[in-house]
Amino acid sequence: MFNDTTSTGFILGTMSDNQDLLNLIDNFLKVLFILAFGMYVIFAFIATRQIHIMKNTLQTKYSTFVQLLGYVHLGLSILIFITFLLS
Amino acid sequence: MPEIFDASEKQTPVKTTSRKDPKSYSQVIRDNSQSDNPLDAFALRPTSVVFDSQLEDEEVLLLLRQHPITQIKWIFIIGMLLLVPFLLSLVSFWDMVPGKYHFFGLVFWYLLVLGITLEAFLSWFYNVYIVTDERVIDVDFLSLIYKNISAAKLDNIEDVTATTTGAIQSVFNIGTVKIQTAAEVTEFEFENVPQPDKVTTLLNELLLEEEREKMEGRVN
Repeated sequence: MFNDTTSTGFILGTMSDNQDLLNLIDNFLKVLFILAFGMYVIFAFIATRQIHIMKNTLQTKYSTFVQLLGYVHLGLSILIFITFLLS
Repeated sequence: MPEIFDASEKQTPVKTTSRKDPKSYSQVIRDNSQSDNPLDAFALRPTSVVFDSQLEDEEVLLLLRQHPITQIKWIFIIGMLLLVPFLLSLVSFWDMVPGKYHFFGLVFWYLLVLGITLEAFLSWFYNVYIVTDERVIDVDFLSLIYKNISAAKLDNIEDVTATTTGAIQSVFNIGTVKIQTAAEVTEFEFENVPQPDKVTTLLNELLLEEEREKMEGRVN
């Protein structure tokens, strides 16, 4: 009887430790992903600004298309970032 | 009273800005058709191409980019990066990552590859060498935060040399054209451009035309 209580307590304790570990890993990954997506959004924003400067420097038939590509890229990165935050 | 001076009759000296049609003095332009494709690496008299410091009557005669074959290393690297998630799925630890992060990890990776692809394309597309009927211009965008534009008047060009080295350059007719100038930037290098012989010929034709303009007193 004594032994059973001890083993149940040990199991519950181990489960609790495991849960803590999983929470720790989850939080760590969450912060890591937020940082990664955040940095990527900054990169996408800089890329958009750079495309704007490039477009002003040299205008071709595809300039508008390239600029649109930059905006789509920025929009996509923001959308994924928000989706991650809400998930 | 006799009229000594009448300002209304004063004639201002007229600058002759007559610009010849490039076809009249350039064999290269005569022999090759006008480029309509904005992705051309060798674009003669490209349509719809304008650069920011372009003068009103200045015409872009040649727009050069690095030959597309020189970008093959990027295509290869991007192809390899696309395969990484597949290779990662073969490793057992990847399955231990919780489902949500598994999905967003993949999404992030492909987004990163998209960013690298966009950056590589932009770097190729906007790193151009421009030859106009007045100047040579080198536009450099080495990274997202570095921009450098150098220009030299054709009058200042002293020497033009084209170099082709290696098997790939010989097969695809690629080369580096070096232009020595007396301007602030003493050397321009058009790296890995297609048809370097034609670039050199065109530049020499333009230099001759500049000489002719000076001799005939045409001011441009």
